[in-house]
Amino acid sequence: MSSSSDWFQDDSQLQLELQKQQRSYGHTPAIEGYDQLQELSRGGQGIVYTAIQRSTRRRVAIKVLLDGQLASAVSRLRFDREIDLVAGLRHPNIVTVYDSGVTATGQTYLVMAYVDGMPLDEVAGIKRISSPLSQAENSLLDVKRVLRLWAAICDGVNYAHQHGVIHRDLKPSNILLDAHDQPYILDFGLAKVESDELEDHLAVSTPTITGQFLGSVPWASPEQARGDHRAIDVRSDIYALGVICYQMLTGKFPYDVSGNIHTVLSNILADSPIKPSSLRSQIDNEVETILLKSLSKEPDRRYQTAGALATDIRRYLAGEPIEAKRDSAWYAVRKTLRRYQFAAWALAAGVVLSLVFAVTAWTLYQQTNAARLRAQAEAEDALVARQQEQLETQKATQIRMFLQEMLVSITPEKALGKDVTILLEVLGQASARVESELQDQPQVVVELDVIIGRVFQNLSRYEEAGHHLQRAYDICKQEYGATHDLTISVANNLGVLLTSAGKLEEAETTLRAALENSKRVRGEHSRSTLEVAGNLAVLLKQLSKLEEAESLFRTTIRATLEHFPDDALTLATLQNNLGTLLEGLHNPKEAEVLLRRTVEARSQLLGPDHPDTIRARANLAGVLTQLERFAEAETVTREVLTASRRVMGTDHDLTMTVTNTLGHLLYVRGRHEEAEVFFEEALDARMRNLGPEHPFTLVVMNNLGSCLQSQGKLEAAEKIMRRSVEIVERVHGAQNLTALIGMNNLSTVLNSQEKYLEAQELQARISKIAAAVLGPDNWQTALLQANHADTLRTLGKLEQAETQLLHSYGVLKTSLGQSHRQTRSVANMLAKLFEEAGQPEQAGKYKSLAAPPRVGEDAKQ
Amino acid sequence: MNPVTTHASLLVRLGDGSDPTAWRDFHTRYGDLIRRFALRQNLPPSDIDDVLQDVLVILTKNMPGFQYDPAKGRFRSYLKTIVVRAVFRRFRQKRAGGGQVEIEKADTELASDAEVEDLWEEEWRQYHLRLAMSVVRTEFNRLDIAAFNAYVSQGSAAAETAEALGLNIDQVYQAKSRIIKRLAELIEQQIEEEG
Repeated sequence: MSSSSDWFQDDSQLQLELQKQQRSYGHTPAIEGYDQLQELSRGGQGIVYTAIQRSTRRRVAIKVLLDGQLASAVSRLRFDREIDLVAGLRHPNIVTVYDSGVTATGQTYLVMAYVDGMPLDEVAGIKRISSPLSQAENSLLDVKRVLRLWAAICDGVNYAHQHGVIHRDLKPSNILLDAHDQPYILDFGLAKVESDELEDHLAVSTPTITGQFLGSVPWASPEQARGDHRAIDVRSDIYALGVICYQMLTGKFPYDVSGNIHTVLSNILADSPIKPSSLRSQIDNEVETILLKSLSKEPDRRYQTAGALATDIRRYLAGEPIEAKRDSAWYAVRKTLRRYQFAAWALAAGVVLSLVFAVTAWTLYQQTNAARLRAQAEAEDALVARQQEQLETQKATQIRMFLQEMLVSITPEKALGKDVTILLEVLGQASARVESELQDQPQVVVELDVIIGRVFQNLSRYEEAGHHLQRAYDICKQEYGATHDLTISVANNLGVLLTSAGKLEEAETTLRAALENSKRVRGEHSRSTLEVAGNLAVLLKQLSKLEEAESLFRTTIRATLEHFPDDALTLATLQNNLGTLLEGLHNPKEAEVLLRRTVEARSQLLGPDHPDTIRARANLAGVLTQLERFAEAETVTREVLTASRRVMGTDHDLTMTVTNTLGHLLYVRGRHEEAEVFFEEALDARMRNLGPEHPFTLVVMNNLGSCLQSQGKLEAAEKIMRRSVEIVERVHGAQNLTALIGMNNLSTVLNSQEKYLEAQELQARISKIAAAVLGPDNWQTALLQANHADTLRTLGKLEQAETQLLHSYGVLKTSLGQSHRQTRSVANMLAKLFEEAGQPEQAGKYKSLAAPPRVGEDAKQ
Repeated sequence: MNPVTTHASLLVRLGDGSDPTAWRDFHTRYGDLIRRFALRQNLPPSDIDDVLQDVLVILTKNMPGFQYDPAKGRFRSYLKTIVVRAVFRRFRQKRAGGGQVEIEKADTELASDAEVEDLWEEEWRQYHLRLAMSVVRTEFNRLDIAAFNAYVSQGSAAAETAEALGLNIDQVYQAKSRIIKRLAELIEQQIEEEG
């Protein structure tokens, strides 16, 4: 044995390793309102702590979702769902959830009752993959004790079912048993997410299946094993209860669950359970009947409620005849009863199905459902009211008809996925008629102009849209004055359009005026003020005024939450926009949370194919990219691209954006040739639709340039980058982030072609501009300046380089942390510099600072 | 019904190539070790599952001819070689990619061989510790474990730990000595089995 094997014999060394392990998991989180957090256990979803709730002094358990690399988006979603579902349940056999929230570091947590107990599988001698070293003998519990436990578990499940919650992942490890033999069910709410995962995993080959997922398969009902989501109902839980009891009684599964997943699933579907009485002699005929009835392959033949199952178990325990015996008569009656009972469920499910894209059992949760239907009804009412109002202002029948036609047939959302040629034709005609027929009715013209303008805008036809909205705005100012309600509203629309069209200065003037007027006329917290504020924030972001944008978003979201808490759509939009902004500000975790909320809200309220939903998903993909969860990001992006092409067409703004995003993603993953194809496609579409001067076109040019550079096509890269920089400077000036990125990219191409002198000049300029635009102590400025310094070093200007690099290093260390990749890359530049300067001591120092960090020592950024 | 999967038989099952549960067991046992090691080599999280796949593939290819001999073979160093190679292959692929669209000039240095060696040893110790802790968790009650975590792993004061968990201070000391002893036993067994 080498000395390295003896570390575990020495208490203090062992303790050292334990402390290292502790650090690598990160520190115990601080959670407001709870003291004395101590780790209890860790599992696939997260870490469970015990703590004291300050207000009540009671002991609670807090489950904190693992964050970062150790938790997938799926498990995060799963956790959120769990919170929603369980929060309302209060039952002695269900672990009560008190509270939930997000820690200061962005981890979701769930506060629940503290149960001093052990998971059922550890108590009942049925642990599935038993540890090779565990000394404990598998000893089964007494039959009556098992049945008493089983009945209590059924009570909890029955209660949840009555509250519209299906567990769908019942298994022994999800049930805790305390010292008084009282079972407590954990982890209600895997629901939809889990079944999605099932599908995903079945699509890929088996070796990558995670243990967490596999862990649940043996308890899956045949309908779950088939992946038939719609067939899953309360009776799927009954089946799992059957498997659990079978295990507790016999120590085995009803059928072989050892082979690969496909075999296991087909066993669940086809194999009859091995007679439990053949495995344990104390199991009598009646217990066997109850057990096998719970394990019927057909849901119709199982107990129809967990309550009925519990009743039968208790009958047996009390020595009374059990229901399950009287099979045929019972079956007929129950079947009829069930038909009525489940007709209502089926209807509810059907309604939801038509409204929401994928119906799942958890949508049966009444409150969620009711809230959604209410929101939809309200949205519809509001739309109807608005239409009515507009109709009333129209005197002439002809015009009323016309308007109605407009509203009904030309709303772009209604044209989803259809050919827009006819739409454009109708719009053209409408536009001509407005001009010729309605000259004497300014208000009608304004309203029609706004509608037509917005439809054009939705189709990315900015020029036509601008024509109509500008005219509406001019008429308004002239007829009603700048502070009139209608003028403010039109200004808002115009501002949004100008933003989309890339006319940012004009947009800023328009929106700032609208905001001021709206505040003055309608009040600080009026809906219109908040709407304009939200739009101005979007614009500010594009103008690189990031701090002002962020603070405006946050105040607007706060005000909306306070004054219009039910306006889920507006909130979704604001969160979406703040989310994308935070992504830019390198706060992707909060961004992800916000964007997931947006996607969810919009999918439910607008449908999954609505352009706004697609847009939010596209943004989410961007954040996932930034979080370096590339595979996930690529999947989402490809889905979004398909949807966007289908719903909005290849020339639509969003389609173009997503094409670029996908290119970027492939690029980041090192698939440069594939990326080039998408960049070319995006550039082509943007040139055609937006022209070369639009900021978005320039972004794609930059990306294509970098992509060419990575493939060693340096001349082509230089050419396109020069062109982009030239256009940016001409149109937008040099004082903005886009210009900086473009110039920086150009400087790297120059460097890689060994054109150091030109690169150095350009970088000197970049450094100055960055300090002015982003601030001298900004981390991006520091990086840009470090790049400059590195070129200076190459040119032998060591002193100048040293001063600059030390400054940059200081800034990065403060803002990103010492172990951040970027900070370390600058440390590495310093190491090289000192080597060249003949200062090996300093060089060594920075060399070690440049080395990769140890996991956990500086996990936070 | 739960045949104890000894290490040697896991290798045989892997080598057989036709037993998919062997992969799952391998994944369960070593997935975390490999992932953590790769993470500490600074691979982006998205590449880490690929590394794991690569390792599995190499093992399948080589295992049929792999004669397991606990007397001379050291699975740990064999696995290390494969993992290190897989990680570095990933790295080379990434580096060949070059620049970034965002503002930066990535210039990450690869760790030296000695550093890699240290890192692997450390992760390997941590792996055994985790494995042993997972057994300990099934053998001791939850408050003992919590006390151990607080007092030993987190370095809280014994009195503080006792108060937070509603135990007396002797119970905290006892939890420490019993669990430490058990950990040492378990790890010794594990290492012996590992070969």
